[in-house]
Amino acid sequence: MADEDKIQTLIEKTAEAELGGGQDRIDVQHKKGKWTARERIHQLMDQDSFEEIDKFVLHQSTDFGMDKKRFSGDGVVTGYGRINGRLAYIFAQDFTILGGSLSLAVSEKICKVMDLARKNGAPLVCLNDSGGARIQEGVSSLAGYGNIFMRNVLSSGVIPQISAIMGPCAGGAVYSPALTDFIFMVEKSSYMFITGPQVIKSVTHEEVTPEKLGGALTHNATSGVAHFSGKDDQTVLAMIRELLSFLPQNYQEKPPCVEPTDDADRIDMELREVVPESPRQPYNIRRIIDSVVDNHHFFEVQARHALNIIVGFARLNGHTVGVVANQPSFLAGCLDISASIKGARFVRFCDCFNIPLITFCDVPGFLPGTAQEFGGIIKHGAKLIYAYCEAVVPKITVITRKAYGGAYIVMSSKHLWGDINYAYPTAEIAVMGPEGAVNIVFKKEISAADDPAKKEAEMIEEYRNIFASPYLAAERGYIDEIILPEQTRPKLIRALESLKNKQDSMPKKKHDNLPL
Amino acid sequence: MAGTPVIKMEAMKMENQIPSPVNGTVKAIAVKVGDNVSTDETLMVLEQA
Repeated sequence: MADEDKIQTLIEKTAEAELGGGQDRIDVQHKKGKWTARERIHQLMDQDSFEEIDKFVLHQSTDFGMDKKRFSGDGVVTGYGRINGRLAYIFAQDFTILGGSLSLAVSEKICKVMDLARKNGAPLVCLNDSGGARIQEGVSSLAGYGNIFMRNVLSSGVIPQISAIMGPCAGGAVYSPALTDFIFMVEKSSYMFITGPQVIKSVTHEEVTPEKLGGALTHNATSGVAHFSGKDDQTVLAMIRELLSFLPQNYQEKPPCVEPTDDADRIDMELREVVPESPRQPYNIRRIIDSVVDNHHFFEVQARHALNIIVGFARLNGHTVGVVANQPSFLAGCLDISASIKGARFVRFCDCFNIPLITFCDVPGFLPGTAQEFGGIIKHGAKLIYAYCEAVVPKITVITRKAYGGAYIVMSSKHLWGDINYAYPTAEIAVMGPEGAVNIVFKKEISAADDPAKKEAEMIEEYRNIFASPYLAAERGYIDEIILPEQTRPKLIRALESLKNKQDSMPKKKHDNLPL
Repeated sequence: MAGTPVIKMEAMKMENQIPSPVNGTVKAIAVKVGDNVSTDETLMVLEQA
């Protein structure tokens, strides 16, 4: 064959491969409001930056007539490119080829990019859209999944791993996203579950739709398995780009710094009005967060789950920070099982990737009740304590109002080696609230009084003035400074700047034993 | 009017104002001030205008 023919052959084979399962199947994908694998990759990555590999891989299976059904690339598109100018590796399952089902060949393609990502210290993006294991391949397909899971774990904490569910993701396949750092879901066109509605119906006789069982809302709000949701492919891909913009490439790098466009000394007098006079009035902690962060921009994580705690990314003077905050307007800001887990996971991720932690504390305690106790709040609450203790990134805390009991300790207190701990004048740092404390400490005086109710009210007022304040903690050095609310932003930025070269480490060990 | 607070509930020493979900009239109040209430308990009946 002449050389020009060889060139022409390559061009034709490439064009054919890039049609995946063929134009008809591409059309079906589009009709469902979904993009193809390559369309998603090109949308996500910087223009013209994608380098595809393994485009001509064919599965090697012959059982069940599969040798007649071969498509170039098989059910996944893999390669690398740039996102926000930085290297990232990607695999995007191709639903147009045999339903995106996973064969050994598909898993080998995926494992190849996972190994490259890990060895080259760059983030891995995983776009899931698959009918699951390719049944015709039998246990080889399972082996494929296992090989992927092993690599998810090898890379865990080494490089950021981001998953998006952009179609079906069922059975064992869900464990790969579950092992990654963040899961995005596309609303209405994606779902994830271990066992689907049909099997559930035959075993437990429950009737449930795929959307209800494992759609974006279910996993973002109820199970807390997913961290983000977007209304379509384009929105989710844009959110992934934004998330990556906060993160370093790998655990050995600091997060990227952008040129700040917001005044580092900006004060906000309105912050004096946020915490209400009455400790019984709720308020939205977002007013404080949104005021102090660069350009008032807060990228919230798990916005629909465990609403009593807020976590997310922001920048202070151009530097990425992770924010954790109790939300007084939900469940009175109490910590409970879901909030403890949500907080702990986020804190540990930030520590993995050198992201300083800013904590806003207004917590009256842990949520009481048998549901919490039987649900194991003891071990789940312990996760959050563990996470803060273990974190060696800069830790800055601001107590805005309540900080009672164990919850005071949990929320990045000085005792868990918080680096800089601030409190507002409205802070109440105490073992418990005045009402509870007075009924224990002054029980005798109250019952002996002529007017017990009046005595109780007096004692509550006295206790409040002495104990429900930041001064006793400040006198002991548990609070470094009591600050004027309007100065929160400059204080945080200066503290952060002072901590930028912080070095600390946990004692050497094989690995931790975080209470799970 | 939708959004007007119609009940003040206290839980975990926090006061929460519950707004009316509809424009309408209060037809019945099923509780009195100071009552302890449970999940799913009817507090108030509103007739949508």
